[in-house]
Amino acid sequence: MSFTRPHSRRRSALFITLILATTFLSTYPPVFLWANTIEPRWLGLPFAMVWHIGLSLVAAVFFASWYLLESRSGAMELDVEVEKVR
Amino acid sequence: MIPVLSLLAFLGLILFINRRQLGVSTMADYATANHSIGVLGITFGFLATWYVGAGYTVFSGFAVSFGMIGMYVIPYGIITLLVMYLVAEKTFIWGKKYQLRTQSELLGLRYRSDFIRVLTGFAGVALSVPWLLMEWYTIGYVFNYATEGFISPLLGMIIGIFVVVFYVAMGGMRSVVTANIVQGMYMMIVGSGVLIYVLFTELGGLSAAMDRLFYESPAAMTFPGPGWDVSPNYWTAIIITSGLGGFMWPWVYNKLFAADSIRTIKQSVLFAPVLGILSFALLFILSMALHPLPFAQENPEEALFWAHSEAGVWPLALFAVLVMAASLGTVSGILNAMSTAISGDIAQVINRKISEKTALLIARWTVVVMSIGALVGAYLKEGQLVFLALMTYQGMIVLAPVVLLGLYWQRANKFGAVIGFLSGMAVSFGLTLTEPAFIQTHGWTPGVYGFMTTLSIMIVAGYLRPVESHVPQLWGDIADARERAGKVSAVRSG
Repeated sequence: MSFTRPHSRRRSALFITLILATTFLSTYPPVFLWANTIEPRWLGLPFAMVWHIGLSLVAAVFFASWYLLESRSGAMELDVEVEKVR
Repeated sequence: MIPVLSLLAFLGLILFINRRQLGVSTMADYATANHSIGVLGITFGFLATWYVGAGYTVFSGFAVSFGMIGMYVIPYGIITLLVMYLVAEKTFIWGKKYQLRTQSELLGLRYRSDFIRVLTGFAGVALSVPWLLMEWYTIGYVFNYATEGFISPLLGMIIGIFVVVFYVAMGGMRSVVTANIVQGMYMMIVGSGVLIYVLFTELGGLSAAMDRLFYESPAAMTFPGPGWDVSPNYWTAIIITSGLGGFMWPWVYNKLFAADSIRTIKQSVLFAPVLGILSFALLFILSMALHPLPFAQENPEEALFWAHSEAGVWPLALFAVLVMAASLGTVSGILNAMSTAISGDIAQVINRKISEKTALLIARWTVVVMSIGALVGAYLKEGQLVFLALMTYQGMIVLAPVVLLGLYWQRANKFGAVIGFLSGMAVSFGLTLTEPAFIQTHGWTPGVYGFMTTLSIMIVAGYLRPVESHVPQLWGDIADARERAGKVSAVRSG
């Protein structure tokens, strides 16, 4: 086990939960129906659209944060030994 | 004349930039570009493959007719990207260590089963056929519309096929990705620009267009849209089905094997959502804004072409190239994945004596044969293509538990995977074809039932049998790679 693993697992679990939370807010019928309204409008767009675009942009921020933290921890420096099986 | 010259110039550009990529001589290079593609290629490779040309005809027509529901693509894209982020590390590590070329080969390794490899390879090819046909038809349609009927759809398809077959067969993944970069950049920069131009010149800008929609058809601004009564579960179902199925397509998944590093894949996940959200949102906002116009309501799938032709010959030309770029990106990815699957996952498994050189030859001829077959199919079956293409998502989602449990759960085994996959497919397509009343009443699409069937069977099978003997070694590969990464990081940080 790598010394980075427990921390890395907690971090992954946190970001998976956060990203799934944005999906939950976009798709869970009671929440989705609550947001499924025209008013208040923004730039003319109905609130229903602003809700989904906004949540997706929040998810994009979570992806970016996840990546930056993984990158800083060295999780991207994977070194793989090639094994010829063919 | 300007639109057709623009289309031909774009096709010429694709061939020109690929002129140095056409000498691929090994199957590994053909299938994965020898794991050498950087972040630009992977990001635009995903976007260009994912964006189908039919998005500007069929799917935009959906938004023209029903409005806001077309936005389901945005939350579904987030699920797909999460799946991509989750599968990236193990796919990359096993892919590089064992020199894997396809998703089916990965599954064959994980479950140590040639049957799963052939089964998923065959399913991937079969489920991709309707998309190939639909995209061929779209290419023919673009030529036909842009030339006001001068070039027939059949001739348009033949022109498109000639170009794509040439660069895919000769250059493999390297050519596909090189073309994807140009196609993707065109779609994001020029494509978005022309959509914004039409929104402002033809519809008076975003606020004015939305105000008109608000006063003339407010039902189009919320789910499910005008004249449609459907359970809210349908919204959830189409997002989950498309989101989990979206990254299971071999023509999308296989690009992971072409990446030069795990950092490249994860960076592309970083860029893809923002680019995807912005351009999808723009496409669907424009489509929704066309809803109040009588011509658009009567011809929803033609609406975007019509709006651009109203804006002038240059907007029409730029838009025609945009649709062509999206179609070429998808078609080239499908052909590359299909030919690799037929050669590597089916022919080489059935006959182990097939050499790498022969396998490459089989892959190249597969591109030619599949293209000609698809041309005939697209020409004869045009009216049923959309139905068939949408139906394939109900099959693709069934693959998601096989891939995700295979990568994340050591107990997942080949018996559960085979029985679960076949049962899930039977449930999903059985419900799709018989259309029982509860599908409409509850709003859950057949793919959701198929997914649950596969998932349940795999979990039960996982607990009924011990962990397969080869699995700890595979998990050990992951641990080794992470261990080295930790040491490298520790050395660098002093």
